[in-house]
Amino acid sequence: MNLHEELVFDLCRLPTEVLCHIFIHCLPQTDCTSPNSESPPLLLTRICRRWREVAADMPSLWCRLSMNIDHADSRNWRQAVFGYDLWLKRTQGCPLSLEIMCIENDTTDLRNLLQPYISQILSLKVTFDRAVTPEILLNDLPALQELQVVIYCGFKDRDTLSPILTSISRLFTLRSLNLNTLDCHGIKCLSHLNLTNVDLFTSSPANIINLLQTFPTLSSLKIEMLVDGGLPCEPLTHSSIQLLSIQVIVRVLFHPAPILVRLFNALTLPNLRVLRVEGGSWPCVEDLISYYKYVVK
Amino acid sequence: MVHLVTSDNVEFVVDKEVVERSVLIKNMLEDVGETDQSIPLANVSSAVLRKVIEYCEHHRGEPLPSADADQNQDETRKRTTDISEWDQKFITVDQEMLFEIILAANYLDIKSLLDVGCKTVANMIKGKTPDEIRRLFNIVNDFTPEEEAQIKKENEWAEDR
Repeated sequence: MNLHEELVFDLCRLPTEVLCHIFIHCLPQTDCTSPNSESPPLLLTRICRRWREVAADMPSLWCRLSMNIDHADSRNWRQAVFGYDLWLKRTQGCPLSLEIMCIENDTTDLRNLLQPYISQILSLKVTFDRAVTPEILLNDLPALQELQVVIYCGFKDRDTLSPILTSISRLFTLRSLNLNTLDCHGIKCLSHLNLTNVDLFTSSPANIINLLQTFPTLSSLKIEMLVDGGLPCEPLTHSSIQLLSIQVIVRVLFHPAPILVRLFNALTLPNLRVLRVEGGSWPCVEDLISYYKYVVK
Repeated sequence: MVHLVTSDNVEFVVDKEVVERSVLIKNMLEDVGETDQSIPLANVSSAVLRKVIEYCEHHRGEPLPSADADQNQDETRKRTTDISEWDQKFITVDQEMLFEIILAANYLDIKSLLDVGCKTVANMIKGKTPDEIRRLFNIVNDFTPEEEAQIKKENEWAEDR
C-alpha cells in the first residue's frame, strides 16, 4: 500500500462515474449503514466541495440506513431528526432499506420523521425493545416487500403482538416476512398476503403443514422447529416451495428423527431444491439419504 | 491477433481473446469485423496498456460480468473490498499508475479491472480522517470557514456513534 502513497495523482482528472464507483466501495460491508461522521458516506462529504457534491448526489450511498433511536434527550433527538432527514433526502426517492432499533420510546416521533419517505421503504428490519405503540411504525407502508420484526423477550405478550400483526396484515405488498419471535399460531391472520418467504421461530411439525397450507405461494420457509410429541401430520402437496430450512430444537424427552420422518412422510414437495435440517444429533448422512426420498416425490 | 496503438505511438499485438475483455474493443471488433488495421487508443499510454494487457492475460477465459451486474451489485449490496492475491500484487503500483489503470479500465470498459482499482482506492480511504485523506490524494480543502462550520454542525448528531 505504501507504493500507492508515493506519487500523487491529480484526482480532478477522475471522471465523476469513477469517483462514484470508488465511493460505493467505501461503504461498510454491513447490510445497512449506521451514520457516523468519521465513516463513509458522511466522511466523503467532508473532504472537499467536489467530493461533497458527488457523494450527496449519489442515492445509492444513502439508501441503506441503520437507525438507533434513542430520543430520551430532546435536544439530541431534534439534532438526530435533522440529520436523518438530510440523510433520507439524499436518497432522492430511491428504494430504501432501513434497520431500526427502537428502544424504550414512542414510535410516533419516528413515524413522523419517516412519513415523507414511507413509499420508498422496500425493506425494513425493526427491533422493538419496550417500545410504546410499536404498531404505529408498521402502519401503511405501501411499498414494503421485506419485513423483519424482532421483539425482545419479555415483551412478546398478546397485547404487544396483536396490534403489530394487525398492522402487518395490511401490508399488501409484503413478500418476505421474518417474525422469528412469533409462533405461527399468530400468523394465521396474514393468510391473505402473498408471502413467498417466511422465517418463523418455533413450531411443531403439524404447524409446518398448516403454515404451508396457509401460504400456497411460499417458495422459501425457514423455521425453528420445536420437537415435541406433536399432532399427526396431514398429507400435503406444496408445489411452490423451493427451500425448506428447519432448525430443530430438541427437548430431552423426544428424539427428533421419528418426528421428522413423520413430517417428511406427509409432505410432497415436487419443486424443492434445497433442504436444510440442523440441530440435535440429526441428521447424519444416512438419515438424510433415507429421508430425502420422502421429501422429493 | 489484434493491433493496438497507444497514445505514445507504441503498437501492441494482442490475442483477440485477451483483448476482448475490453467491452469497448470487443464492440469495435464486432462493428468492423476481421481487420488488420490498428486500433488507436488515444487515452492510454504504452506503460499503462502493458499493465492492462498483463491483467487481461491473467484473467483470460474467465466469464465477463453481465451488463447489469453493476446495478445488481449495488442493489443486493454484495460489494466487497476483498481483492484476490494476484490482483492485489498486480495493483501494487505507485498512485499515478494506479489511477491511470483505473482511467484506462474505465475508458476500455473492463469492469473487473475497474473494480480492482476502485476497491484499492476505497481501502486507502477507509479508516482515515479527512485531513489524512486530503494529504494522501493531495486534495485541497476548498470549503470556506462558513461551509466548514455548517458541515460540522450538520454532522454533530453522528459524532462518536
